[in-house]
Amino acid sequence: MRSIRIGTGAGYSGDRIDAAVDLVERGNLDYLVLEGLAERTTALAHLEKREDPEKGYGQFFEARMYALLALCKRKNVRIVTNLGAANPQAAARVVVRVARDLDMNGLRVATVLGADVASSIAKEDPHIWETGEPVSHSDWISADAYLGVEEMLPALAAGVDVIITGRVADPSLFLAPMVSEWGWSLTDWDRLGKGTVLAHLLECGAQVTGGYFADGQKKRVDDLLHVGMPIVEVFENGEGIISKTPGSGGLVSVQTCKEQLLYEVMDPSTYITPDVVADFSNVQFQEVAENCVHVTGGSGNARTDSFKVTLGVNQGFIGEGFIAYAGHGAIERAQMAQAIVEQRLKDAGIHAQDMKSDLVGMNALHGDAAGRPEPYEVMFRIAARAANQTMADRVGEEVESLWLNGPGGPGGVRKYTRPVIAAYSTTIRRSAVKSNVKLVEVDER
Amino acid sequence: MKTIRLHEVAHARAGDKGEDTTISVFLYDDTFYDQIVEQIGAEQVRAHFTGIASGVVECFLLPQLAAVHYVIRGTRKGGVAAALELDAHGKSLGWHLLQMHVKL
Repeated sequence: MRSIRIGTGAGYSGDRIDAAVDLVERGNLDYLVLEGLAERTTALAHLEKREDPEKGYGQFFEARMYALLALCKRKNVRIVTNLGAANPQAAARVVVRVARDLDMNGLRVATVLGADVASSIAKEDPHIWETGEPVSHSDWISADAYLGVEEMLPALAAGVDVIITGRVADPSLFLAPMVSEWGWSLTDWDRLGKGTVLAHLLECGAQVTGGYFADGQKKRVDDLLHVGMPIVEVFENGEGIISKTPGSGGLVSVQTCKEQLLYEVMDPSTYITPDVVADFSNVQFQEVAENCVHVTGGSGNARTDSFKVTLGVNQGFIGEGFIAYAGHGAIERAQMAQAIVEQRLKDAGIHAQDMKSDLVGMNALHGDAAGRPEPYEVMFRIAARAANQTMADRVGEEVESLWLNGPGGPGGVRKYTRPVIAAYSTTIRRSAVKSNVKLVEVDER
Repeated sequence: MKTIRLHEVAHARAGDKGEDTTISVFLYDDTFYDQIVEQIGAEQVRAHFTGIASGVVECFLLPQLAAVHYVIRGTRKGGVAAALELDAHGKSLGWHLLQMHVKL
């Protein structure tokens, strides 16, 4: 039976490049998807682009192209990536530069443009989901619509080697090759729903092959060190088989697939993408061979008439400081440090509700609970929001001053300040978004 | 009947979604599904997340996967980027849910 094979070469911006190389070398792929845009990443990319019009594409893009471009061409694997981020055209120029440097000729690249909807959002001024306020009431930086398969299809139809998008829904990166290869209708909600199930299973890379799963106890995973990237073999009817790089470590099982199916999903019967409202609620998994799981039972309903938009919103700064204590009375000394720094920051004008402090080793991740054993070592940590960097820096400085001014035996002070760009959401009418595809070819010099 | 921690009979995965956390719980052995599910309803989970989540808990049953899926509202004010928590994504919270006690 004919099938197409799609692999995940990156499930986030910093994912392992060597695992992607192994996947292409041994995976017998038709398509390699590189996903690398977290919600706030596009906002940061827009800020970079403002500083330098040739920047604003995804992190490590150039390194990925050096590692994968020639290999994919040799193996006849087409690359689909959202690492164009805020600037797909600049990313395409990076591909051209890398291809020339590698003496590759005739490479063809397509960019999918139109995700940047800042001007439409400024005009329409919709409400932000999280705050309920109009966008114009916030200090917003960027607005990017999650484009989908329909906007990507002309790039796939052009038969290029590399497709570079900005913001698109992560599952659409995988669904677009399925729709293009199988000729599925854009209103075949059942197949689009099934394809979206497979896409969702693949979009976070090794999270379906044993990563974010192994616990060393009941959930044993062999050779997590060499965990393989996932592959989906897709059939015309929308069913598929999940596997991983042959010869790699890790695990593809019914359990890993179940966990990833529901990952970051709200109502499993209503998984909304630009392409379809997919229904995950009747999905079933069956292990058909070692590390091969057959996926059935997905479905879908008609897509919505709007695009989700991710907004980057400036929200000042967060300052953070850490200091550790060990030995007898470690907890009491950390608690003394906590009380001192909290009061000093309050005196400096930071409100209690903008502060959070913990004892790492005791209550930082899951809060307090009775009956836990006391740790030998403990780390006091405090983080606070501030409108300006000077005040945010004060958080780490007050922790640092405990060296000389706080309890005995402190160790390992760390301090950080970072700007906060919150990722909020809104929607925009489909008709307000104009997308297009541009082609670039690498000619001989 | 004895009281055990949920992690002895189930595994879980947490995900971040804006200001909320999703957690899905899967029984290793689906024969206990009905018996366990009635002890880890939305209200019990909300109580277990007191101090961590400010909002309501929604609960979806997927018996064919031996799964219960929760959407826990108001765990990360401002979302990942603006969260003050050490675990800004809330990925460790699946293991918190697995600390719940159940009778079996």
